[in-house]
Amino acid sequence: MFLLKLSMRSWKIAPWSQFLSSLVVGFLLLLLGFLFFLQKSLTSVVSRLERQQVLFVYIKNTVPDQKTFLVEKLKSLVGPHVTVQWMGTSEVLASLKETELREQLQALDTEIQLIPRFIALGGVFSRAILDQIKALPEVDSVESLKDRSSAAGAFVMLRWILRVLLVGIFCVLSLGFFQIAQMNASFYRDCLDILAFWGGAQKILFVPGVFSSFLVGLLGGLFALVVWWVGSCFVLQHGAFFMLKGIFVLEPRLVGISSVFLCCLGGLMGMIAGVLSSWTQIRNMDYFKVVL
Amino acid sequence: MPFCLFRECVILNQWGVMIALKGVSKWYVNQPRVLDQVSFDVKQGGFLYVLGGTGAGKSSLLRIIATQEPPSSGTVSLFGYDLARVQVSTLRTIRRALGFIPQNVALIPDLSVYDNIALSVSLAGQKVLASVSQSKISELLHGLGLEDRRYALARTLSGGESQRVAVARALARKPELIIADEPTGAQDRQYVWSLMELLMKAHKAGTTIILATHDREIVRRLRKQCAVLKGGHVTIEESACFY
Repeated sequence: MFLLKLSMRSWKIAPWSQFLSSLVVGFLLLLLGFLFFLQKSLTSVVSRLERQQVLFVYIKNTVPDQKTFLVEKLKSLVGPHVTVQWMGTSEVLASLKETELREQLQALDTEIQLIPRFIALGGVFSRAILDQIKALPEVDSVESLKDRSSAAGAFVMLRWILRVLLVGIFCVLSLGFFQIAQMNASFYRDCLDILAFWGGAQKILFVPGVFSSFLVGLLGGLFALVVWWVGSCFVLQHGAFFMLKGIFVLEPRLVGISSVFLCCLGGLMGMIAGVLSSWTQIRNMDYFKVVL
Repeated sequence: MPFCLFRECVILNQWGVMIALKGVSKWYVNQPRVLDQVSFDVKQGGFLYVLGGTGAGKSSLLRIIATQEPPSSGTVSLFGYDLARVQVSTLRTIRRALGFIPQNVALIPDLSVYDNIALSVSLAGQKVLASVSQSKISELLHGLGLEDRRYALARTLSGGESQRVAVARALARKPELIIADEPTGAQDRQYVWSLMELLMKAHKAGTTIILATHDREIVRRLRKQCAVLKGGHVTIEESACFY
């Protein structure tokens, strides 16, 4: 208890410095959390882009215009998560903007079946499914479109940049934490001699430095927790206004876990920095020559 | 004679010597010798005044005995341990059995009077911690006229008050050996005797005491063995002390 009281010395001597340090730590934790979350979300975006295909299944001319039958047949083959769009003669013609061209094509199509009929499928397809579709008697040919690969590549690059930034900010945060902890440990230099002189064990000498740095980390973590929580709730409620919607996978459960994680990370980093900086002080201490 | 330092029991030599100095010298860089070949013993339960003029080396001698600094040459044994050869863990155990009252008092300025004493007690080991209650500390504070300063921060105390707190802190630990460096130096006369009364009470209970003082009145009234320091040398006088 007395040691914990002693641990508050840095807050008594330099309260604003400690408070500002906590804010900076909190901001960096927030940035760290945001970047981590962003790169994590990008991973799922990249995987979605890499895996999503568009298939054009062309129907043989000999097959009658049986929209419902063909769509249902393909749906049963590919499963419920795939989008299926029928593009029969009338739908293809309707999609043409130029009326003249449409009329000419319609006129020609009555003589020979000129306009191809196809079904567009959007989703993830395995090679086996693709082979099964190709083997259907009504299917003439299948074309696959993968025009999102360049976008996926750009996102992969962005994800790597974010990861490098993440490591950089983590290093800055760790170094900053160590500096703060060193400063805090120096506040207790005289006390360490007194405690050592009164027979305090080494673990006791660690307490003031470790606890004071833990407090800075915990306060920073709490600051990050509050901002992260409020910010996430705002994005969840007003997600439609954000361009980031669709990239971020925000769920209330995830917001809760990540904000608590940020807080714990702050406290843990503070504790580790406190142990390291106190250790550097205690290591240099001469037990046989105490300056009282 | 077996002697236990809380967890470790040691055997003091056949004469029950608690402190033994042999040929101890101390010098600082670019300064003359403060102590020159000082040798003497203090038995368990003994009382020794350390006397001498300003700069005679009283504080240096006491700091060496209190394990605060090593001698430049010679050997110092405490509780049967040669201080030059002890492990850090043993040194820690020895320090837990000490009650040192340094001249500069060495209180933790941002803790209260009570917390300073209680912290020191909590560091003295489980056995002491279990036997020293809150009321025991209050009793000590009352005896030294500090009961109304109980919650005052150490940095707000006067010189005399700080010295009394340092005495209370040392006594509260129930040490085997008290080393006091001029504890009455900054005291009003009314507190000098209440302070000496507490020290004598501890001595009667078996605590060994080494007391450095300038106060001739104390030495005259409470006659004990004296170590008189002059020119770095020490002379042991059994009862009548002159310096």
